[in-house]
Amino acid sequence: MKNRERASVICSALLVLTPLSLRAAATITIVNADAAGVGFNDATAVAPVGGNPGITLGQQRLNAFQAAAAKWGATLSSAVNIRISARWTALTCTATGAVLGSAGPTEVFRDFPGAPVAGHWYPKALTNKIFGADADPATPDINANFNINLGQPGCLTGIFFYLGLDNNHGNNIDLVTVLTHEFAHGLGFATFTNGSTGAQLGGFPSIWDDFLLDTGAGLTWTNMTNAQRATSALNEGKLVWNGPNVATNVPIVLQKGAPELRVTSPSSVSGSYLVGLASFGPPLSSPGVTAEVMPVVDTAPNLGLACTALSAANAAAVNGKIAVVDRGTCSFNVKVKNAQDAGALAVIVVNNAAGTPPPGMGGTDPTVTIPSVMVAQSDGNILKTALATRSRTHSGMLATVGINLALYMGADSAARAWMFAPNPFQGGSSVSHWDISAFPNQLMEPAINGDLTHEVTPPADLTFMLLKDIGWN
Amino acid sequence: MLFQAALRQAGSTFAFTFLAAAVCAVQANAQEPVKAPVKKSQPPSGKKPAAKTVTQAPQSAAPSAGMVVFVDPVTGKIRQPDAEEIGALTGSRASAQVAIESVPVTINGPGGAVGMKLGDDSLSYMVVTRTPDGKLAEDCVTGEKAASALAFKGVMPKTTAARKNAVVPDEK
Repeated sequence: MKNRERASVICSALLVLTPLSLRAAATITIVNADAAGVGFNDATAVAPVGGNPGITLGQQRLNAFQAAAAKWGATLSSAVNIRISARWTALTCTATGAVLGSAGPTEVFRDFPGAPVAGHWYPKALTNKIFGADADPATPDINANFNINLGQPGCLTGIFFYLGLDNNHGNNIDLVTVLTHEFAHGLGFATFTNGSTGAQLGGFPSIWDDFLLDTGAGLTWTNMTNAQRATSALNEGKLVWNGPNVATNVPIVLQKGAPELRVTSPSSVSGSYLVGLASFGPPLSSPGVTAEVMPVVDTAPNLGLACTALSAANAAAVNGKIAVVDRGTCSFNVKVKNAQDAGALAVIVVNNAAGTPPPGMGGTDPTVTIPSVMVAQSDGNILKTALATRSRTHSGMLATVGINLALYMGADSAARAWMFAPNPFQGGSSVSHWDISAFPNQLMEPAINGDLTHEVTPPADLTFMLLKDIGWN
Repeated sequence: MLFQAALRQAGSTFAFTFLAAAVCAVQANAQEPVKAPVKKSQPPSGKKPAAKTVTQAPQSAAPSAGMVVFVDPVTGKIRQPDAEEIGALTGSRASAQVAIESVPVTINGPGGAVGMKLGDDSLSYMVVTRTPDGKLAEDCVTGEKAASALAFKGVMPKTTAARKNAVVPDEK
């Protein structure tokens, strides 16, 4: 007991722990901001786990922090020590949800000596690297707080941070992965422009904004008005990262072959449309199903619910075509089966709820043999408007439903990585993460996927390439 | 029960806000951490040793993600609020928080640089929730308001679309 107490006192008296530098591309120091006996200083005895040799809870926590820091330290270069002030605190949690932790840069700077782009905000750690000295030595570069109560009764009971370093987290939360993600935000994987209102911090853009391109508007965020940025933040499928390092590595990192509805005529609506996939029926294939598009209309004013066998007129319209039906009233697989029975080759289901990207369609029916996809309500309305000039059996609209081998999963047709920009805006997730369509799963998607590795560089991951675009190396 | 005072500084004055609502069922002594029983070994799969619950004394540093407590006016005891109460309190509190933190704190940097201190509304938060199918979802959001709302309500997007491979269920 005495030895433990003494060790606790010693630990709590130290504000700065041993700096960590492995291959010394950058030195990242975890600054222990915990009180005696708490957090990193918790002397509770534990057995080593998953390559984490710590024999106290506090030491294991620190080792996990240092492992994430080591990944970045071995990846980045900076002559200036990167300081992460870290502590374990009681964060928000309930029996079914918990804030795991938070991290972010403490300060941003613009117009410092050597700043690559004038009038743009850079996060403190990157500022220091470029400037060559600490712009504010009295302040750490990154703040990180993590939930000390995770797993305790009432705090997502029974779900703990996995403190092993081998990613063998099972049903628990892999702390190293979460830290690697959050440290990336602290290093600058974020805009400081308000994605909801479009307002720039202090009236100046972030360096991030120079690379955030809205392909629909043809403008980067730096060159937009607040209103344009607020709209752009919702432009799923059109908001891309336009940096050279990411662009070079999209073909290396992301999987080629993405699901797509591609309309080839008429030119007024031609292009690639986001789709949600079906849980039933055959998987989309390449080159997919190409046919004329015709809607089912069976419900006023212009809906095609296809919940019963199609009428003779509707059957004649969709026979040998790609049928367009509407979500609602009955199962997705019922609609698709009714269209199939009428001779349709594929089905497009138009969502009846606003928002993008379109979700996938649940359901089960082993007798469904044609592919089907869901499109966003807004896209469905575009298609229906163009279909309004059809005859009873022809529309002149040609489309393909399938896998487009020319597309990378998570990137547009020019191989520019999509940024997460759903409608409605998702506070804090939108704009500052890769799109969820990326595959293989990326570290900096808005959600942690269970198959993530601890990698931040190609061929596994694009995170560091983005950081290079904003000024890291 | 757990409660925390949220300290806010505005200009040269301190605005002291005491929040009277509780959501965490974590039992804690408000003054000192509770020491756990000594454990000789760690449970498998990195499970944390049991029964150590900690609350922090109010921090003098920048405001962290704050806890809220609800007090029953009749019994005077802390009670569990429902989701609507939590959401309403989180929203109103967050509005005040945003109003205070929206005032930029500009600092001078080296060589004529201009800096700005970032508050909790700029931090990235990772939140874990249980989905309806019992799985865990870990989502990254910006700002304490969004993080707390997600942790309390367990639902972030208004549609289920904005999760990887999200599927809307059979609509029968």
